[in-house]
Formats: sequence, structure tokens, C-alpha cells
Amino acid sequence: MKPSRLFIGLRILASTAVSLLIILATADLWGFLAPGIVRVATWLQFLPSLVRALTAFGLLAAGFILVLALTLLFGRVYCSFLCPLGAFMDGVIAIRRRISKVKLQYVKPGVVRYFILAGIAVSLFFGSMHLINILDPYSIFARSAQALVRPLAIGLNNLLAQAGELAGYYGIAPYPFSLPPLPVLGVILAWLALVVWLAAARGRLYCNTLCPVGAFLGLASRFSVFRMSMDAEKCIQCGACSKKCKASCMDVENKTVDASRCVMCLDCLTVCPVDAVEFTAPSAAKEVETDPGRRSLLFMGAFLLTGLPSRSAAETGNGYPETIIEESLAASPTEPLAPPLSIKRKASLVPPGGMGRDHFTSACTGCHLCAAACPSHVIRPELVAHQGKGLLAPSLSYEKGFCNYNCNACTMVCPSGAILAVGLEEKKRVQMGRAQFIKQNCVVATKGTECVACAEHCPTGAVKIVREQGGPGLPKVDEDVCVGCGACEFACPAKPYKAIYVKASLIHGKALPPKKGESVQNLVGEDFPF
Amino acid sequence: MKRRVFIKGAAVMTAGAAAALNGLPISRALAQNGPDLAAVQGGEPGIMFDKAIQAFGGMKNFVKPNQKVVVKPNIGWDTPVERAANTHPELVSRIIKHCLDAGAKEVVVFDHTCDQWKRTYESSGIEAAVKDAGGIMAPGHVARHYAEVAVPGGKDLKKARVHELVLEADVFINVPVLKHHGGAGLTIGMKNNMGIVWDRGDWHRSGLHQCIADFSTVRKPDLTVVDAYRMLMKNGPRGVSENDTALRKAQIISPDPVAADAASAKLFGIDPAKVPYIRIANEKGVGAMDLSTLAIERIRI
Ligand code: SF4
Ligand code: SF4
Repeated sequence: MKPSRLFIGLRILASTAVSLLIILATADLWGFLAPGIVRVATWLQFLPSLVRALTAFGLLAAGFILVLALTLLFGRVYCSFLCPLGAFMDGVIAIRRRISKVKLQYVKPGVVRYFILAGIAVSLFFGSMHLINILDPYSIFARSAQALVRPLAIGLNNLLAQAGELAGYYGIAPYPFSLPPLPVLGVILAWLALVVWLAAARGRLYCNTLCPVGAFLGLASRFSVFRMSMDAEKCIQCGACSKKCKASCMDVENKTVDASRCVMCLDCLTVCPVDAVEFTAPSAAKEVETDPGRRSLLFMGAFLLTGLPSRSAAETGNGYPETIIEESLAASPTEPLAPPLSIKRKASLVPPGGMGRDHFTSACTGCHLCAAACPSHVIRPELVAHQGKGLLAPSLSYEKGFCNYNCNACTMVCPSGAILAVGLEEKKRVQMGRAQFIKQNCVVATKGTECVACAEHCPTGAVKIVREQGGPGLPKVDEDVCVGCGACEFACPAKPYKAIYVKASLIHGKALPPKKGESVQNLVGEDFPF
Repeated sequence: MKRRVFIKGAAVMTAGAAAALNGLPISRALAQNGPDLAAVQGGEPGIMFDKAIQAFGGMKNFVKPNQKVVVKPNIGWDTPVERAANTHPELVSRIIKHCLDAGAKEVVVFDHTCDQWKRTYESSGIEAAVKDAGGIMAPGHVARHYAEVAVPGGKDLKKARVHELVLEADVFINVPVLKHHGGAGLTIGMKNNMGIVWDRGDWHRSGLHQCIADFSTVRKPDLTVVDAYRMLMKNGPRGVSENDTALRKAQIISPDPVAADAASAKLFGIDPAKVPYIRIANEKGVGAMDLSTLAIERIRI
């Protein structure tokens, strides 16, 4: 066996493993996977890792450096060994090849990819992640799995659960079925269709036109130590390699390989009848192919690197700054009762560890891994939920649940640092918002009956019931202790509008610890009072 | 499963309603010669249950061979045992053992939790205890498991969606933890029944006490075992820290749900007549609130 075949096997193994891990991260309802294992796969994802390093200062988490180093050594190995969307496209190409003959051939290098890089640099300068979020291959792959594979897993799980129940077995618990909101699903499906079509018709064209990671690593791979080349003496210009090449980068006419577009799939090594394609370190004598705009492109790459931090470092800072809250919606308690007041949340809720809207949307790439990890199902993928910021960045919704006080699952999975890891004890103090009470909506005020659903659910004791002489008690919120988990809002049964809701803090604060109060005397040994 | 539920549910309803009308607790016939209520104190949860159930002649007086049993602890909150917001796991596992020893076909445990169910099952320690004891831990978070049942004796509550496992069960054992509750004053047995109901938001909306009392006429537990090993004395029902709890090492068991709640209220230091749902249930004839009329067995360990 040729060594090249061995490497191709390795490529398939690695890319399949990474893809499967990411799929499992979104569809593992049963907790088979330790979160740490998924992290290995996401840690090496170039773009989220780069964003993480730049916005959260976590160089420790900088898997992108490893990828960059690999690229400088061997070219764009990321694209064939580590990129899950690349693996997916390879799958599409393989299937397409089985169905009918595809005619791939060399094409001259285009400049679209550099326009995209430039566009990203410019939009980052204006504080927008939109272009990155829509184009990043890892995020496309992960959110597609979250939107499409996870529901399948849930369906399967629920079928099994139902079958089990009939036999009196309850070991498999049914899962609430959910799809992303329609606009999100629409974008995901449309983009997936584009990727499949491009792959089926033109191989890895996506990677060499639209993909920002491909473009960026393409710049780096121009300097790579090892690369594909054609031995001009051996080459008989049969064109076998260029027909096989998914990246359309084998220029048989000039006997050169465009390293900036080569995705390092190594297929060409196996098809050359005379072994003229080789993977070597080019001799110093051979001039590295250059094209006109190269210098300015390099400059743009550097600009891209600086674009991110110049904005977010200033805006987000480190730790928890002063809480900024919007104007209060809650009317002051007036007599007699005003008509019910509808709740209009002005700012969006951001998961704990997200530090607030601006940090969160400046780093979220929309992979939706957090939504899959949340056991309370309160992280909901959204198209634009953050007042125009953060395309596809999820937000919290307390319609069907609330953030579990004792949980920090989402903070442990985010690869881009949009949701920073927070320890459980620290998470219990993260203030995502502050609960607001609207008296005129409250059951106790309108009907005079006992309710207390909000206080009952509050994990921090921030909602207390204040009672005047045995009458039904009205809730009162201690906003400083509130963490904004939404337990009260979820539990509030008032109709048509809830009487308590969480007003999002634009920048997350730090809640005061729950008031423990005096410790109660033990009562062991007292006699029966009856 | 559903079909059986409806037939069964209807039967249960009529039985419940009839019993409510003549004021006779359903399982009174079972425990004919025993006391009305047993109170134990001074031991660990398991031992106390051994003694208490002995006072009623053993579990075989409540569970017949091959019967299906539902044990319903309070598993509302994602908090550890020391916080006393949930029923003590040791008590739950001991009850299951007694049921299985009495020949029960299966013992199922569930609760419609308030916090995220999976985490709550886990951190309460109850899931592990149930599996250990040979019981079955069933989910309580699935809407389709709840079947609508009429509440013929209800004033504010006319219908409720009740978990089919309870409707199907031959024996229903309610195992609340005795604790402070910001709205209901106390949560004991009848309040714990909210965990077998799906649409409990309605109860909060339409008057908590009346609804709790109304529902107590629907499916009365055959046995109520009140866990007062550690009591949450304030900030209930969830509690904020261990400071809110007091060790009491007591347990109250009775086939009469109102008597069990009344004695527990006393144990907590509250006059049962001051807890509206106990008073209303007493008036409805669900059981007896006046402890002076009952045969009480007091056991000290
Ligand atoms: S911390 Fe809250 S939002 Fe995050 S996963 Fe847990 S429950 Fe969901
Ligand atoms: S007041 Fe509401 S939002 Fe705040 S901690 Fe309590 S339950 Fe959560």
C-alpha cells in the first residue's frame, strides 16, 4: 500500500470522528458523551477558537494556533481532516460520483474569497458578526445537526420510550420535541441546500469561494513548508489529477498546484499513473507562485486579526462591570388597579456566562451547541434576537421553562467563548436580569386568592410574600438577590399577562448571595404535640 | 395504556366520590383494627417507618400480592437531601421494600417536579434510592401521561389532569415531606398531590387552598407517610440554605389524609384549623382533622 492511502484513511477517520462528535454533541439526549470529549472536537475548530482567543483573552483555549501551525507546515489540512462541513461535502461528492460522472477540472483562482475576507474585516470593524456567522463552516454544520439530527434523535427516543412504557419500562424518558423557529430553520435549510448543490456540482467550491476559514488558511498555506507539487519531468499531462481534484487546483497545463486552494485531501497522490504528484518541501530554487494582490491580502489578514479585539476588549472588559438596566416597565402599585399590562421585553436575555448582550453577540458564531446542551430547553436559536446584533445567536426564552439554578451546562460547551465557562457556584450569582413585579396583573391583586407560584419557584429567595394580617400575600422582589433565572416568570399563572417577568440586564451583573437568615433550632426530642 | 386508564379512572372517581360523600376513607376497611394514625420519633427515616407500619399490622394490610403500587414522594426541587425540600430518600426506599415484601407486582415512583426533572430526580437522591430498592422511577414531565378526570365534589376545581400511573394504581402511597410553604402555610400530604397533576397553574390562578381541598376528594391516597425527619421551617417550599431546616426525626403515617396533615401541622407548631386546605377538606368529609377523636399510636425510639 502506498503511504498516501494510509494518510487518506487517516483523513477519513479524523474528519468522520470530528463530525460524529459534533453531531452527537447536539443529539446526545442520554448523556453518553462526556462534555470533555466534545470539547476536543470543537477546540480545534478554527473560527470559533480564533474568536474565543480574541474576545475572551483565553489563549489557553486557542486551538486555532495549532491549526495555524499545521497549516504553515502542511497546508490546509484543517479543511480535509478537521472541518466537519468539509467532511460533509466530501460525503456529498462521493455520493455524487457514485450516481454519475462528475467533470471536475482546473479553474483559474478567483478573488471572491478575498472579497469575503475583506467584507468580514469591514463588518467586524462595525461590530457585526453577521457575515462570519452565516459563513463559518463549523457553525453551519453544528447548527444544521442541532436543527435536523437532534429532532430525529428525539423522535427515535420517544418511540422507544413509548414502546417501553407499554411494557412497563420507564428507563427511557420522553423528550419534548422541538424545531428551531421557522426563520432559523429556513436559513439553515437554504444554506445546506447551497452547500450540497455546490459540492455536487463543483466539488470544494464553497471552500474556495465563500468560506472565510478556507480563504484565511489559503493565505497561510502559501507559506507552508510542505505542499503538493508536480514533478515537471515525470508529468505526462494526462490530467488524471485535475479530474480528481475536488478543489480544482491542479493546473496540468503549467504543471503547478495552487497551494492556496489545495484542501489537502491527498486524492491526487493516488491517481497519478506516473507518480508525478508529490508532497514535498519545495526547493528554495522554485519560485513560490504569487499573484498580484498578495501583499495587500496579507495586510488584510493582519487587519482581520486586529479587528476583533480592538472592539470587544474595550466593550466587554474583564469580570462583571456595573449593571446597566433599561427603564422599568413595572408600573408603581396604584389604587385602584390599572388594566392588565402586557410585557414587552426591550433587551434580550443572554445565557449565564454570556456577560451581557454585547459580549455575547460579539463572539457567538451561531453553532447552537448551547441550545442542545440546556436541560431546561430555555436557550432558543433565533435569527435576530439581540436588537440587530448577533445573527443566529440564541437567546433565552422562559415560555416553556426557566434556567436551572443548579446548572451551568451551556457554559461548558461554547467553543467560541460567547458563553464563558463559569463554575457552578459562580453561575449561581450571575445576574442575567432582574425580576419585575406588575401588581395589576397579579392574581392576588385581581382576585384576592392565594397564589405564591412565583415565590415558590424562586431559588434565591428573591421573591418573598408579603402578607398583611392573614390575607393572601403579594410578592415582593429583592432585585439585588435575583439572578434572572425566570423561574418566577415561568410559574406565574396570571392571564392574559404574567405579573412577574425578568427584565434583561444589558450587561450581566453579580447578584447578592441569597439571604441565609438565622439558623433554625433543631427540634429532636421534643414530645408529640398531640 | 391510555384506554385502561380511562376505565380505571372512571372507577376510581366514583369510588373516591362515594367515599367522600359518606366520609369514609377508602382504605379504612383495610386497616380495621389498627390505629387511625401512628406517630414515630427519635430514629432514622427507615427504622421509623418499620415501626410505624408495624403499628398497622404491616404493609400487607395495604398492599396485596400482585398489586401495582405508586409511591409519590415530594421531589420538587433540584436540592440535596440536607436542604429538606424533598422527601428523604431513605424513607422512600424503605417503603418500596415493604411493598415488594408484601408481594407488590411493581412499585412506581414519580413526581411532576418544579425544577428540571432529571436533575431533581438525581440530586434529591431519590432516583438512586428507588433503583436500589427495586422500584421503578417513572417520568412525571410528559403531558400525554396525564388524563383528564372530573372533580365531582369540587367547588373551584371541576377537573384536573392526573398522571395515569396514579389512576391505574391499585395502591397509592403519598409520601410528602413536612415543610413550610410561603403560600399554603404548610405543605404536607394534600398539597403534595399537586405533583400528580399536570395543570396545577390553574390551581394557583383560581385559589390554591380551595383547589387543594377540592382535589383531595378525587383520589385519596391509601396511605399517607409524612416525612418529618428534617423539617424546612422557613423560606419554603424550596428553602434558601440549610439554615432554614431543623432536625426533628419524626414521621406520621395514616390512611386518613386529613388526619395525617392535621397531626403534621401540629408537629410543625401550627393549628391545623388555621391551614385553610386542611379545614376545607375536613368540612368536605375527606377525613378527620380533630385529633382528639382518633386512635393515635405514639412510638418513641
Ligand atoms: S445554565 Fe441555565 S441556560 Fe445554561 S444550560 Fe443550564 S439551565 Fe440552560
Ligand atoms: S426573582 Fe424570579 S428571576 Fe429572580 S431569582 Fe427568583 S425566580 Fe429567578
